[in-house]
Amino acid sequence: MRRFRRISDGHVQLRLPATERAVLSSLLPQLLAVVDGVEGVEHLRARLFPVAYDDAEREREFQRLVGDDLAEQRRAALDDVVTSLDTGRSRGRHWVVDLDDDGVQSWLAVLHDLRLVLAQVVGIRTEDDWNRDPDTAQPAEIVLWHIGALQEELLDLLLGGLDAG
Amino acid sequence: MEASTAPVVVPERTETPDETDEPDRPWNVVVWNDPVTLMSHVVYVLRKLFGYDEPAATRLMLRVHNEGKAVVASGPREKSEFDVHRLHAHGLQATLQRD
Repeated sequence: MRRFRRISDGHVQLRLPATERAVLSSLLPQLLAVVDGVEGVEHLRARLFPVAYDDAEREREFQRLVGDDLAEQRRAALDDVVTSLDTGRSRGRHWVVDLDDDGVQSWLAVLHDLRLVLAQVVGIRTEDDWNRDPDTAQPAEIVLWHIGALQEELLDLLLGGLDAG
Repeated sequence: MEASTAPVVVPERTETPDETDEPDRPWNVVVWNDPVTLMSHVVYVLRKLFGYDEPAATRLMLRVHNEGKAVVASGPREKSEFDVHRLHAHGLQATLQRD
């Protein structure tokens, strides 16, 4: 089943089984905690906030310049996704929401950030780590694979849109 | 940097020396490989942010993937910092470097 599809007005419709919506909903506060550097998960934060310079002095200048902007952008994307999860409608055992361009970009950003964080949780350190058998006893690992599939599907749609435009 | 025998007094600087010396030498925007980011995500972000067409974005993505990094843009420091910031906002590992 496709989760993302383009609808007539150029918006993207997201259709998820109710259980997947619940799983995603439960992950969002955890991602926010990482963005906010909450104690206990602060070690996961650095990947979302990479350094720009090798040189420490230049890096300090750069950080002064960008300030909290990167964290603000991530909180705004999370807010968007939380809102869309709240405003969607049930259709049978599924849940459906229409996303405008900003909403789509927020979903892409949040799915990507979730993977960056979950991959650290399950210990993906090299590309070879993807070749090991997934540990199906680990919920984080199942969710990581699933979110990867979701993100891949959304990217297919977005790349198709660029080619058409 | 070359070693110097002269005593060094570090002034409070508003500009870094190499910028004053060579204001025209461009800064490269470098994207680094990481084991988690999807290849299609890199292609999409490069197309969206820099306007690359599909073959060019794919070529750069493959360079990142195979060689560990690729220069995706270059220009004055301010513009390159803006580009790096946008790449960070899209979850890519990006740095500024000079040749």
